[in-house]
Amino acid sequence: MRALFDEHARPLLGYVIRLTGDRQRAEDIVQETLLRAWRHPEALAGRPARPWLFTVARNLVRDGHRARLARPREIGDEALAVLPADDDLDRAVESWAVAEALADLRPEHREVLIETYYRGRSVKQAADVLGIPQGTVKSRTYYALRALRLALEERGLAP
Amino acid sequence: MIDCSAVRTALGAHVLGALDPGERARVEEHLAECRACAAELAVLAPLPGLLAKVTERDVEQAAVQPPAHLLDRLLAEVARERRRQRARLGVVAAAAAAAVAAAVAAFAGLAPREARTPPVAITSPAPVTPAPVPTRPPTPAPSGAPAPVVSAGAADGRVAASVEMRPRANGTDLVVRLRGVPRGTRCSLVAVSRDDGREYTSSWFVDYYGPARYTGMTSFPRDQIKAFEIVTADGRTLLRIPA
Repeated sequence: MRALFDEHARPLLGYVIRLTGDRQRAEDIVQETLLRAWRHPEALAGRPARPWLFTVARNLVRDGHRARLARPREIGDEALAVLPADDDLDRAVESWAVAEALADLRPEHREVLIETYYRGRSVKQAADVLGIPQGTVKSRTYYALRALRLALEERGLAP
Repeated sequence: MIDCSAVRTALGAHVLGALDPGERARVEEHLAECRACAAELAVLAPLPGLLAKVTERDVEQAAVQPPAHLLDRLLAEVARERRRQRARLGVVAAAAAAAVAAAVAAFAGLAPREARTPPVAITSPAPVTPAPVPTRPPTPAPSGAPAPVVSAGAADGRVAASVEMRPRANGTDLVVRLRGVPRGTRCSLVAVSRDDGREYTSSWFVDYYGPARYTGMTSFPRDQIKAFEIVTADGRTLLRIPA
């Protein structure tokens, strides 16, 4: 269980928080998802764990939405049966791997990518915001992208 | 003129579109003529497409470590389930130990005196209680064999449940799967024995996403259970499941 937690709890939690916007509830869903994975090791054997885990978590979220609409809930292990990952899920798994790889970069690498890419700043503007020379922004951006590429390859997401 | 090392360093900012127009023009000019730098560009070029799949907020979110109390909760739950499993295996181990002891005793009775060995001490993870002589063949199912399951649906077709019965040392473990009960209902599972004894085995609150299955325990041995009832907190019987 500790291994499951170390490997998957963070991306799962991030994913479910994004789906629900509710941290408390997200933690409950991650807990139930990891317990199901632990109870059913055969479900994870011989296939990538992430899509399965994301599917189970998403179904739990969806069941919760249904229940909130005050319809009688259907209870069962049906989450286990819904396995083929659809395109949405593939995208979620992939984008979450990218977010994780970015989050795992060294802070100085992450911040230059945030400034130049996500905030659309030029090298000069980023240098002003971060209080570092323009040359440093450029070299950090370069090394940040190299490190990101490596991190993505390690996650099986060769660009 | 601009040299290769300066171009390389600028390539990151270049693919992200962060260079000023003057420098961008110089870099592009160099790239048109330098295959090595063009090859380096090809390595970096796919990355902006991947960055586009996430937002800055996603990155912040991904950096949040899951709280330690979540791991604690999971480990506690795992420990609970392991204890239950061991308790079940204990019954099987006890039966196996009894069989070995019987074999040793039979052998000892036949063997010459010097060949006698003291019965092998087999430690069982669960206390071995002398079970009452069963009126039917041994109840503990070998591990792996499906436990007996009974199920029923209400006449209105909405509420349905199944109960799995696993014999244990001093009673029966129950796994309830329930469907069709409106959210917000507090329910209990009542076990009814052959002599009409009633025992609340577990109760739960059907919450917004709650677990699909509930577990409980009754002191009635498996073969003494006549039925189960799903009852609400205000005493209505939602379902009766003959066992």
